[in-house]
Amino acid sequence: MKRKSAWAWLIFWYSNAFLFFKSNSQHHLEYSLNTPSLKHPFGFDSFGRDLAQIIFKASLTSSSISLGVVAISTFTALILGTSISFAPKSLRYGFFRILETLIIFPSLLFALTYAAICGPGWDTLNFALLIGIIPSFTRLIYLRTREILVEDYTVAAHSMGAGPGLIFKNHLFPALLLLCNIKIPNLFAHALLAEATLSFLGVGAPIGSDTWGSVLLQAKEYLLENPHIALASGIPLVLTVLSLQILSESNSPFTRPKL
Amino acid sequence: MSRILLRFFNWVLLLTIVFIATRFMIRTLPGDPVETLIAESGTSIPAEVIRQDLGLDRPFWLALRNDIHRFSKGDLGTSLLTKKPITPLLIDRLCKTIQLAGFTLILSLTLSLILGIAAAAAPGGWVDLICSFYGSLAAALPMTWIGPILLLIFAVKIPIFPVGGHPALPACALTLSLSGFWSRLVRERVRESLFRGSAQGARARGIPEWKVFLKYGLAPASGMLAAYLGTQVGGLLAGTFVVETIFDWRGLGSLLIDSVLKRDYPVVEASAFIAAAMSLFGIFVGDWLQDRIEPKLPEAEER
Repeated sequence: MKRKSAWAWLIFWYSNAFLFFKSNSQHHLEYSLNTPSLKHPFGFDSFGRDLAQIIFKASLTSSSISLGVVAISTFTALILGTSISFAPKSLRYGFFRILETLIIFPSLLFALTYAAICGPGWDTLNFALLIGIIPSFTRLIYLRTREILVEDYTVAAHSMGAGPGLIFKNHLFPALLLLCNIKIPNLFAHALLAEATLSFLGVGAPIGSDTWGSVLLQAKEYLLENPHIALASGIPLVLTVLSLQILSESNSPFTRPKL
Repeated sequence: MSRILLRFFNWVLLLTIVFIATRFMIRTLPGDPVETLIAESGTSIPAEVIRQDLGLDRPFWLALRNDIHRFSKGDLGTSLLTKKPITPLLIDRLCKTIQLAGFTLILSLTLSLILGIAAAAAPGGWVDLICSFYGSLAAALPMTWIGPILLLIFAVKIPIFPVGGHPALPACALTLSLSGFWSRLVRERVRESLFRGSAQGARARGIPEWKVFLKYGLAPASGMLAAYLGTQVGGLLAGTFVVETIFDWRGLGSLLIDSVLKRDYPVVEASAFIAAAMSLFGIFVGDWLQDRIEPKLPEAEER
């Protein structure tokens, strides 16, 4: 039930977003900050643009960045995590320390320092999201790989002469796939939230581009007189993140209801 | 005793690395920081002077030695734009941040302990449902959205809290985002330790239920929870930074973000270093607490 409504929301939101993607937004300054009406269900923003269009487009921009980041991090984490777990012990120890150090630092701090030097922009945003995701995901995949490698069935397969390729195909790959299944929606949600934070603080998306974070910033500026911007931009974000988390949880074998 | 010394040594070592890294970043990252500074801030200070102020005209090691020498005297440099010493400013801002973070910590801990233990007491009950629903919802609420909304509702529409200058509302907002996961964690850990035989035994001996929860549910989990709390100091600080910007709380975070946007590199370096030091210190304290609470925990050797 939860899973179905999560999918329903995601499909509803993104299909609408794709419909609006082609339409170009026009500035009607005379409608600036108009409240929602039947024809324009989300109202208008401060530049006199139809807020529905802006938010759908912004959500697509944010989502494509987040998806790209999640794809890159998954790829990196899979390669790094699995290859390091085959390395000698001393190397593994050092690697693990570095990972943990990277994890304990708030990624916001990295992002801010980076933004101070390179300035806000897509690069800064991508860097901040990647540094926030890759270390912890690599650590997770590394730990899971180590777990699988010492499982009885892996040891048995190895002792019966299975090579690394076969072990990877039969034991490691399915386990890591399950892990990615749980983790990817979760990371996607995390990246969306992080983008919203960074662009809101002014160190993410460049000025003039519409992302969820920059719409939220506009919403905050006009909050007192025009709370409709905040509601129209925030509620879809919350629902999207919530749906992704529900998907992540329902993919986990531990919370799935017993059949 | 030697373990705590080792941990302390580790902490100092990591701090040194962070100190060097913050100085190193300005040289290694692409782009000329001085040119961006002039372009972005429109300052009239000539490029050569800025370069000299930042120590960019000297080799890295010489500049670093100079920085470390100054740091040992408690001097973190001067701001590029205001030309004022950073240390007093930073201490003032840090106190405000600690005030907010401490307030948040107390609120979140109280809320998540109560909610978590109550949820663990009756698995599947309505408190348990509320706990897991609250956990999912809190994780999905972006602070950049719920912060302004809280401000609108509880300071403007229903004026319970003052709009600015008081830590109550920002602390509540931060609590909302932190305590969701914490209460779920408390619930999991307490339930785990209640499943052990000792809780059953205590019940059989006729020990009152609330005592069973505290002594056989919470106490065995507290070492792990303390260590986890230590790792959360960094997250708490990051959350404080966002909240400070939203609620206009003049703390370390708003200083850092302001100076990032103005490209005031010495201030960025100093405040990023202090924030990193604090999150590392949190882990140090958390580990130490775990050692105190669970003294027999063997050192993890194989990873």
